[in-house]
This record gives sequence, C-alpha cells and structure tokens, in this order.
Amino acid sequence: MMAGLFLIFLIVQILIIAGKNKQAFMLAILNVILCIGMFLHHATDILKIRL
Amino acid sequence: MKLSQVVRSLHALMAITLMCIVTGAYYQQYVRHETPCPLCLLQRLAMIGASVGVLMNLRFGIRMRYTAFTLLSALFGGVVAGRQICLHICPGFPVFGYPVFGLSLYTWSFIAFFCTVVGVMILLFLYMPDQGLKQPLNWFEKFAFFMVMLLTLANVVTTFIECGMGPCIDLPWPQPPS
Repeated sequence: MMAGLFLIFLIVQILIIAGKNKQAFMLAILNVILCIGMFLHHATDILKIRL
Repeated sequence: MKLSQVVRSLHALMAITLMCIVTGAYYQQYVRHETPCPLCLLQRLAMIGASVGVLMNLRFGIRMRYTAFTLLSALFGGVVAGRQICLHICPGFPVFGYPVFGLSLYTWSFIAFFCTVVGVMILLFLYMPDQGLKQPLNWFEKFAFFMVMLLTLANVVTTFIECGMGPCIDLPWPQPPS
C-alpha cells in the first residue's frame, strides 16, 4: 500500500515530464488524499479499515 | 539575473534540499540500520509531494495551485511529524531511533517542513505574473527533476521490499511505565 503511494507520485512525475499538467495535478491531489487516509488509518481510530 | 530566474532557481533549490533530507533518511536506514516506520514513510511521501508541487511550477510555469499543493504537502508532513513527536514526548517514553545532532529524525523532519512553509511564503512574496509563463528548464532545474525522480523510484523499491503489497507493520515501541 505504502509503496503504491510512492508509485503514484512517480507516475505524477512522468505525467509532468510528458506535459500533462491537468492529469498530473489531479493525480497528485488524489495521492495526497490517499496519504491523509493512510495517516488516519495508522494514527487514529477515525479510519479503521482492513487493508 | 532576472527575478523570475532567481525564483525558479529557488524552487529547484527547495526540491533538491528536500531530496537531500530523504537521502539522509536512507543513510539512517541502510548505514545505521534504522528501518522506517509507517509515519516515517508518510513524512518521506510528504517531502516528495512538496517537491512534486515545485516540479509542476518549474515545468508548467509558476501557478498558485501548484504552490498551494507544495504547501498542502508540507503541512501534511508537519502534522505527521508533529504526531510522531507527541507519541514520544511523554516522560518515560524513549526517543524512537538514534538522535542526529541531539534531535530525533522526526523532530528534524518537523523543522524541515516548517522551513518549507517559510520558503513557500518567501516565494509567494517574490511572485510576479511573468513567472507564470512556461520556460525551458536549465541544468539546475533538470538536476532537481532527476533527484526527485530517482529518490521516488528508490522509495518505491525499498518500501516494497520492506512492506510488500500490504500495509507496513508498525514497529514495536516500549510501553509507558505503570
């Protein structure tokens, strides 16, 4: 799961190099949301899901 | 040197500095054998996220939304680092990992994210509308791109080796004294 978050950022960087600004930005925002979800899962009882 | 070129160089310098910190984390991981915990990995993600915002500014022209993304990542990283500080700040709880120059890595990480927020503030003060134009990358900016991509790829590989496809296991830490 965590490796997937890094992989998504790598894809974002490839999109940036390819010139796809809208797609890169949307994917980056999505990844930050996933990171926040991962933090809530690890650090709090707010988000307890079976990964 | 034009102000726009100075601002672009400062952007690249910010990304390179953040990646140097991630490189330092790798030194702790492989030379001092300190496996990163999930919160540590989230902080690495936040540093890469802040650098991605910088890369978008360099590639597509400086825009408020890309700067806001850098700020969002830095604030997220600061919250995660702050959380980790709070976990170990109570009396009786030892510091997690080996201290570096007297401070734990997560404390240094919090300082780094705070400095990133201050850096973004300075760049916003220096913003002029002509910086929003797309410009070709110079060698320094290309080096920033290279460093961010290399360290992101390294993190994909090493995190996969550590955690596999599933969640990363929380490393055990001592219980509070009764």
